[in-house]
Amino acid sequence: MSADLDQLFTKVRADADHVPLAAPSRLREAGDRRARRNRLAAVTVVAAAVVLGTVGVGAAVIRQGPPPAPSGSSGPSPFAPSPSSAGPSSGGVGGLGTVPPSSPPSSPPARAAGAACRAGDLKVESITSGGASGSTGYTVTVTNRSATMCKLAGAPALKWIKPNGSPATIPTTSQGRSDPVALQPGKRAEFIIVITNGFGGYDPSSPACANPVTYRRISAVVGGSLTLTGLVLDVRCDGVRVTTWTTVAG
Amino acid sequence: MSSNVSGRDFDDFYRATARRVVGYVYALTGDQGEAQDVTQEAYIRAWRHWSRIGDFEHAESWVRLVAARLATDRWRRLRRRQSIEAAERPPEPVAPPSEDTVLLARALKTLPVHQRQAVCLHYLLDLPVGDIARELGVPAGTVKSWLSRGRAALAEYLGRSPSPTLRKEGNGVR
Repeated sequence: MSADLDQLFTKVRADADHVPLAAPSRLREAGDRRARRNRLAAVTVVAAAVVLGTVGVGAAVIRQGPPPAPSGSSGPSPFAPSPSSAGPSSGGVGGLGTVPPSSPPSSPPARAAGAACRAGDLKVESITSGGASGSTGYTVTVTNRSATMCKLAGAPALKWIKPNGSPATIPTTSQGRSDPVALQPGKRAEFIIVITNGFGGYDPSSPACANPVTYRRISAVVGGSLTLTGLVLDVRCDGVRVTTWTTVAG
Repeated sequence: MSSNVSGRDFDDFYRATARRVVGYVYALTGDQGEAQDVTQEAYIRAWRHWSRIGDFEHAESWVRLVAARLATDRWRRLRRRQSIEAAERPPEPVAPPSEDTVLLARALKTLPVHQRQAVCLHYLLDLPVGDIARELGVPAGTVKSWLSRGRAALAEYLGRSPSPTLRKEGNGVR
């Protein structure tokens, strides 16, 4: 390397020194909060699985990603997380949390092909979480369980049940293409709910973190209410972003 | 994980290494805000697994790997796009980077990701080829090749866009 490039890298080092970083105690607090939230979510899912199992409706499985390295490992590679599964809300580096939703008990009657999908046409296959560095995404995958093609347009609205029992709409912003998605029978489509993970790099006292809220008992509005069982959105800063529907290959 | 002893260990580790890691991520991404986010997230994850990572000889290497992957994964891309579209995030009051840093960051971005990582690990963090090979999981010969190609590409890019420092001193990149 020439001395000139060395000089440029020296400038990078100097500029990087100006990047503000949180105190280590703040990072530990954020990590501990996340761990508590994940433990709570895991307990909730297990409880739901037990209830569902007793009435014969369904079963629940919690799938965990690979654990980090065993101690004494000679290098980081064997336990490094995969980029595609680096989920801060998933309970660990490289982990994925899957929330198995409940299934409607019967198929809906057939309708004309090409109509807008209704909640009864769709079965929620999975809700998986993943994310990185300040954001968590919950991918909601559905299957068209009806006998005809139907269409999904835009990003679905989300509703939740407040602690006092009243339903309310979750304020969201949508992102993605607005073209309707045609969903053939048996095929899958998905949308993603993205929230800031914890404080996501924000100063907790910043205006973006002034209205924290935990949304529970959430449903997507798709020609009716599509229950997203087990999903909890703990929004500390920023709002909730929802992507438009996209089809899933395969 | 949350004991006072391991907390102090983690704090010491963070204070000793975070500046190097943020410099590395900064060089990889060319973005101060992203370097801040990614670095902090990587250390949050390190703390969550500290009971195992804390005993690890190369804990800093673990953090760098996580940070490098965070810097390129799909959620970060999604979030970046949202940040740009919605302009929701108030910028941190950070001193702007020097013109030289911007230029080098641009030049580094022209390199493939692994080449960029190797160049930054070697020339920014002064890691030897063997350590880089272990960290990136490739043979040492591959690292040497990446460094050679990366050096040539940077020299070519910077030769077309000489930095203020280089102009001032009247020398080009060789």
